[in-house]
Amino acid sequence: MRIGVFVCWCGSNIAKTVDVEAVAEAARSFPGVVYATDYKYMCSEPGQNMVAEAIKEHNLDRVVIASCSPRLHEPTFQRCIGAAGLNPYMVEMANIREQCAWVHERTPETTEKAIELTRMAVAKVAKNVPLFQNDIGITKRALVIGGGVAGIQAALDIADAGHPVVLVERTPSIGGRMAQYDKTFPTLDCAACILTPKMVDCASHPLIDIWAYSEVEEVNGFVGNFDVKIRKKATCVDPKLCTGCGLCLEKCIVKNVPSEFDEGMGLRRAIYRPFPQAVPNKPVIDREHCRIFNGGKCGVCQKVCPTGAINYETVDEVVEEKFGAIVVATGFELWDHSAMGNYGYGKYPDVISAIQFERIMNASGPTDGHITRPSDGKVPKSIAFISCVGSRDEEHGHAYCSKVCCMYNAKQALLVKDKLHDVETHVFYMDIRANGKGYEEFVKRTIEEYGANYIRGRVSKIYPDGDQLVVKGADTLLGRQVEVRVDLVVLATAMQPQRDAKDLARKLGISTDEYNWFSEAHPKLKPVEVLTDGVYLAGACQYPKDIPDTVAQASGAASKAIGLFSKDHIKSEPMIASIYEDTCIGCGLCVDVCPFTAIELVEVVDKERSTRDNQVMKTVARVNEGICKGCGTCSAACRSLSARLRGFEGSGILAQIDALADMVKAKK
Amino acid sequence: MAEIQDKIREEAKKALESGEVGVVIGWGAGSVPFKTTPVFIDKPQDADKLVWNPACTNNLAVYLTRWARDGKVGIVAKPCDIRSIVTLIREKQVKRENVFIIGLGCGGVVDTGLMEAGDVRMREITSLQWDGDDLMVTTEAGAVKVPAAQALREQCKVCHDRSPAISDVSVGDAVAPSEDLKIEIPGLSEDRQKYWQEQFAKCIRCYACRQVCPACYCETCFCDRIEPKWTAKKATTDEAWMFHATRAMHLVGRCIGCGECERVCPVGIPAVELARELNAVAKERYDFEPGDPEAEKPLLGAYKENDVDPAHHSE
Repeated sequence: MRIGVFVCWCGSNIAKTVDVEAVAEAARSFPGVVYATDYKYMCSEPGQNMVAEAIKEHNLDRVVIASCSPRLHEPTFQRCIGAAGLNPYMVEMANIREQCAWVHERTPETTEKAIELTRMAVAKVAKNVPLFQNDIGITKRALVIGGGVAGIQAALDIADAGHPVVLVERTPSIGGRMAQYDKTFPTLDCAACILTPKMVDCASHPLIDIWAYSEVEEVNGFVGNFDVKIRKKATCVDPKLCTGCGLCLEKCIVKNVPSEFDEGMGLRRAIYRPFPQAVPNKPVIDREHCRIFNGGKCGVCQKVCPTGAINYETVDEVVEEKFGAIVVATGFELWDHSAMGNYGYGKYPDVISAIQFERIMNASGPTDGHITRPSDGKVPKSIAFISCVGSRDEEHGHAYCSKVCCMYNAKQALLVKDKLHDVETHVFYMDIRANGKGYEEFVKRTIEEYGANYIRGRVSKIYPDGDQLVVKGADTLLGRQVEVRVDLVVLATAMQPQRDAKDLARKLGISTDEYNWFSEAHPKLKPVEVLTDGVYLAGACQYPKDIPDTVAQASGAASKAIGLFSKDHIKSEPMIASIYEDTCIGCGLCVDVCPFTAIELVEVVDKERSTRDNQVMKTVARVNEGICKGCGTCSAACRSLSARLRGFEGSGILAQIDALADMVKAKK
Repeated sequence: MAEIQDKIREEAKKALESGEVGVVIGWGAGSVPFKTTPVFIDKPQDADKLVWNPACTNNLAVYLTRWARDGKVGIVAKPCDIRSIVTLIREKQVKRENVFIIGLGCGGVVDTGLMEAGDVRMREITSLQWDGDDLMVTTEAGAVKVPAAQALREQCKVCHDRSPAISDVSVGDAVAPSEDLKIEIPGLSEDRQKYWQEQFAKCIRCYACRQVCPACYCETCFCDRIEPKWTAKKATTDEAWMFHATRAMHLVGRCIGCGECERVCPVGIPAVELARELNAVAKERYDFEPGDPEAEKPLLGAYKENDVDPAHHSE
């Protein structure tokens, strides 16, 4: 055994408090150590060269780097010794920076501790064995969950790179929230005009399959090799026969279903497509309202369908498909704040949410773009927009800022003025957060050119007076109470995660924050990755985002998937768990404790009890190397010591403990 | 009790005659009337060798991992033994369909050591029988009544599980103790360390505790491993400490407290007390009881969002 020890100064980071030369000197007497030195920056190119040269010159077979956390530079030195001809896993890091130099004063004890840490690393590296990466094949096909603008963009990007994509959407059409909007800030492009071409691109792309009215049921497998069960909900309409002529929609006798797409401001039939530009442009039957499914007699749509596409007997179909990468773009929902009684939402018809107002302003909306108020159809002469309804409001469960409301408040206040020149607009705000490209200028325009009356303060109460509404609040700039009488109130309600976000997170192994937004792997450096490899985030399922951020992230997520697909194989991480089947007793505790569901029980031949004529089986645990992250939980739980973590075998850990115990004993 | 014993024999005979099981594991008469011995009955005519009396202490579940591996076996089991069986089933060591459980109601079994320490002349005993809360000890000189507190084994004094949690046939009613007897758990903090230091100093590493334990079913015990060598073979206090402490950790949420380890220990180490203490913590923090057939997962394999985080748990 020929171990080399390299002690790093880390500039003055370590050298300031630790006598690094003394550490190197002490290391020279450790068992197995044939060479030890110190250097200013071990991770620098000269430092790495020093390690590589020492390996050759002193014929080293193992290396200890006494420097910083392995989180930071273990991969660096694995590559370094790998390039020098050693197995990359024959290196150990002694963390004498974070766990020593940074947390102690310069005293002899600090140097002593650094020596002990280095001694322990030497003891461990002596027990290291070479580890090897395996190649795992990948399925170059992506699943995109959610057909909003994020999902659409991700699907298009991945498909344009030449990989097949399945775009799963749970409503009958892709388009998502953006399809509901009128115009988009700050450029005021019509949302439909920029979105529908992308929707059509998706539909016509040879590599994209759109599975609308479908939901992900179960996800198994691992990066490059996901097995996903998807429920295709019964639509009662054969997509191959349906031409999308729309005759059934006209003849359906159930006419009073509140339209989800119009946020309850309009009505739809029991057989419907959410909006005229829907993609796919095939209707579905809503079984909750269709007479056929509620004991009634009807069958009109079936009678009028010229191609015989309607079949009431269809059932949900669950298909299992293989994917290599999954983009999660499930978006958000809006807080139903009817619990917040003082704003009168749901009680006073002229208090509406901003998304409802989008539908009212939209030329293809329930009022054909004529701005009227819901109660009596009158054109409002004054409107109050209230921001932060539920957002930045811990009392109502959203301490965060919903990020987009300041901008759409300004947008709606501007657009409404465009249509109704003499309308009076009041915007109640807490702060104006307009920190995107062209955003500040846009808000300024709304205020200065479009005369919106911005009032800084929270609204305490909204109550009716005659056929008008009184909005009562504080003007915190003037330090007084204000009351405005308006015809219509528009509330900017908080964005929040989809109510079933947690379920999907569990299926995909995504962690969630306190609100159930999906958590990225690193808040700064891994913004689209999650802790499960091969799963990427796009859009507002992660946190409130506007359209530009959403689309940018969708392309980011897509590029991660494309990057993954650019290889034929992925390398498995060798520092993972493995089960010694000879001693495994198959109790299954490791299966229960594994946070990544990487372990399963399998039947194998029991070598101990089998004879030539009689094969006896036994149950043992087996680790799926693609899923295992090497956390070691199974290894800690296993009573028979059969679950072992490669690179962290008991023998190495014990050697470390023994080395420390010897040093402590010697001191006494 | 004789009635129950007859029923046990009858059920065992039926199961063997019908061929449902190949063997019935139960208790047979021992060499002296105050002891019993495990018997493995494989012929119907031998079923009459089965006995049931307050000396049926052995937890027979320990034999299941071997005997019920490849076929169905019958087992006569007290409620505590059944908790062991439940644990074995949950831990996939025994298939439920491979055990035919003849479940018993039980009022507790006797601690012969405790009785010996009293006035009972063990060698003269001809029979033992419960009479309400008292143990009726018959000797050649006549019958004497010994109060439960002076006759029951420790764990039986606090046992609340007096009827079978699961069984295929249930024999005999549960006998509930009229008073809740208390047992001592050794002192805390430094006293506790001293206490165990003394206990482990006695250990001769014979592994009888491990061999008799139904939950110790690993084919290769950690203490028999050479690499990594977590504990050396030498019988020093330190190594014994490592062995018993590790074994206690392995038994958390799994030891049903039958006390067999303590009973068989030749040097009198009360190993069951360690598991009993850990189980008390499991009960307090996670409302988990070992051997509860309702619990879906083992204690260490179950996670609930409102679980107490031990790191933040203040005593």
